[in-house]
Amino acid sequence: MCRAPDGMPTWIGTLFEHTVCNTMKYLVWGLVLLLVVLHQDIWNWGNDHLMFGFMPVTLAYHAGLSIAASIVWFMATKFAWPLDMDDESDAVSQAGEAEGAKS
Amino acid sequence: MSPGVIKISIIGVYLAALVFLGLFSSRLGRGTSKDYLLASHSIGPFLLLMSLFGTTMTGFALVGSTGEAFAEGVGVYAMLASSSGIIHSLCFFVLGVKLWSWGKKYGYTTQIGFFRDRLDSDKIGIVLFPILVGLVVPYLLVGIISAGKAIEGATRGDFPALTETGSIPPWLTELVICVVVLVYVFFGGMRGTAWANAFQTIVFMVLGVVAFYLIATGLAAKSVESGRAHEHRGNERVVRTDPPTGLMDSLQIVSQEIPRSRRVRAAVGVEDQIETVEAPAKFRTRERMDPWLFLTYMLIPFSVGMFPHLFQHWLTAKNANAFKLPVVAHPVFILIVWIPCVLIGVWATTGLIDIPPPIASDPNKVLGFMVKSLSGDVLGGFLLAGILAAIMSSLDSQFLCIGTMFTKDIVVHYAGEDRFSDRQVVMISRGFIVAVVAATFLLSLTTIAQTRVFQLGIWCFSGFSSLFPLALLSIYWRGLTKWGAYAGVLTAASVWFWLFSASEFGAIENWSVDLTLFGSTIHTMPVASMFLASTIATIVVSAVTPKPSAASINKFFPAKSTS
Repeated sequence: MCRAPDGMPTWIGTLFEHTVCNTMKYLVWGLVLLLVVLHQDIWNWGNDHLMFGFMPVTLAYHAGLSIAASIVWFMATKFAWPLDMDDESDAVSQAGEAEGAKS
Repeated sequence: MSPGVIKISIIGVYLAALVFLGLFSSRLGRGTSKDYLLASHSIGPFLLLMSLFGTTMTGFALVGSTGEAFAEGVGVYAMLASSSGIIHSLCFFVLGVKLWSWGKKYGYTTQIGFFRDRLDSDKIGIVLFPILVGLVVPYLLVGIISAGKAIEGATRGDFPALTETGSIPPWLTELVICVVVLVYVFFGGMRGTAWANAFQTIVFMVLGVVAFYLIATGLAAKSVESGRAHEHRGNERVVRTDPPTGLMDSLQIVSQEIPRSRRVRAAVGVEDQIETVEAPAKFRTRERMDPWLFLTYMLIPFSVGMFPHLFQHWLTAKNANAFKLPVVAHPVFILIVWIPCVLIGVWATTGLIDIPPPIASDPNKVLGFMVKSLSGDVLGGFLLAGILAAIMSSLDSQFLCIGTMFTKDIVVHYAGEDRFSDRQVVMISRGFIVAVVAATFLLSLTTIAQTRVFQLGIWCFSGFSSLFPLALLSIYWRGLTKWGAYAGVLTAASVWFWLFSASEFGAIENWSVDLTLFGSTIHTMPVASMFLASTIATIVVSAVTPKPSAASINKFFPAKSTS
């Protein structure tokens, strides 16, 4: 989740969350879209070369895409993780624990 | 001890360990139905990652991908694996986390429970239940057939008294793994399933890497010994006589032969010199693939958004943060499993190894055959156990899920909470699971077993994908109505059945929906038509039918506090 660093004055923190966090969120979803576009690598389809002498280029390219996907999803958990989900998660967990204590 | 007995003993010990794990995890349970079905929402990030990944990677990913690469070339990875890395994590992120929070808040155990509540419609369960169970059956078939074929290919010649080919008959393997999975699911419930999944995922990932190493180095060494390996000296291609010097050298020896595949060309006989034959490019490239077909393949991984067994796994999470690790690691885990399988599949097309006609005509057996031919008996036994681990780690969740759906969504829902005791409910659930597994086992004995696992899987996943729009709209669109949902589900089911029958029930391989646009024909995957039709039906009918009640909307889309 994207939040202003601790110790920052409130107004700067609010500005940070409105600008940096929102920008990063759009960037992440833009990158997910880019992954989908890059997946359609028609420019590679006739390439017969072997990367590192053993890996067909088309396979190596898509292996790279899998690694890139992990990086983009890591960014998504940092910058696009829904803030309200954390709050909801805490509330739900507390409710569950209270229910458990009662029973 | 004969080679076959060694392998079977190792597999036997592995299966016994799984049963023990199921029994052991049942002792850790809290004895409640919530614990049995959802592990009391206690699963942390690591176990969630392993159980989600283990559940999504089935015989389709190992046996199917190797067989499909053997039949179609390296493009298989791009068609399904790299797209799954993007789309599966997307589904975990946009659907899984939200459904988990509602599931925990409102006490859902199954998808149908959620849809009934969200759409304020009891009858949606009656419509969805047969469709979901009907789609899970072919998914179970994919796993069961894969197991039977893999062991059949890997034990060829080891048991001459059993069958004509000396293999363990597929029905025997299929029966044994069904019984083992039933036992540990019955005893361990969801907690046992999660533990068994984690254990089996580690086993098949580690053994997969070991198998890749052994097959690459073994194939290179044998090729040099038999004078089939080549190297380039200047511009000349000569027979290589120096033995391979390590993994990298072995990989280069075997991979440079990929374009010289001879198996697919009827005109080329075994006696022909491999180097004189022009290569079919498709095994190392995607030269002849229709870009539209490739694009529409990307809709298939959306199926994870509607897998009922995955929904149940999402609900086991301890908190929302537990989803972060699966979201991030899933694409790389797919890479670790799929790349070796695809390379093994295309190496099998080269002239470096002779694939007997019974194996070549049934690509499902290729992985088992490669393991048998290129690893020792002891390691071969472990590798086969790894293949079974991947298959069983999906079957267990599916078994548990269909039992849960039947008891929760049908029996208890209509008979009432107090009609049956806890013990009776468990017995009914087990009875239904055994009936479905028995029906699936009987289907695996028919000619369906000759269908390529990959092709069967594609049809099954396409059906689930066509229901994805319903899942997405139910979470993010307050305008979705129960009539829209009915229209979407029935349209998806009708279009699926229509196209499946047009493909002669999967008998025509690589069947596509062909459209003519501006004078040229484009090929699309059947899933595209189903997905589009279902989306349009859901949205259009929702737009013209009465909206859900205000109470229902407020429950799922509460107004944001302005303070």
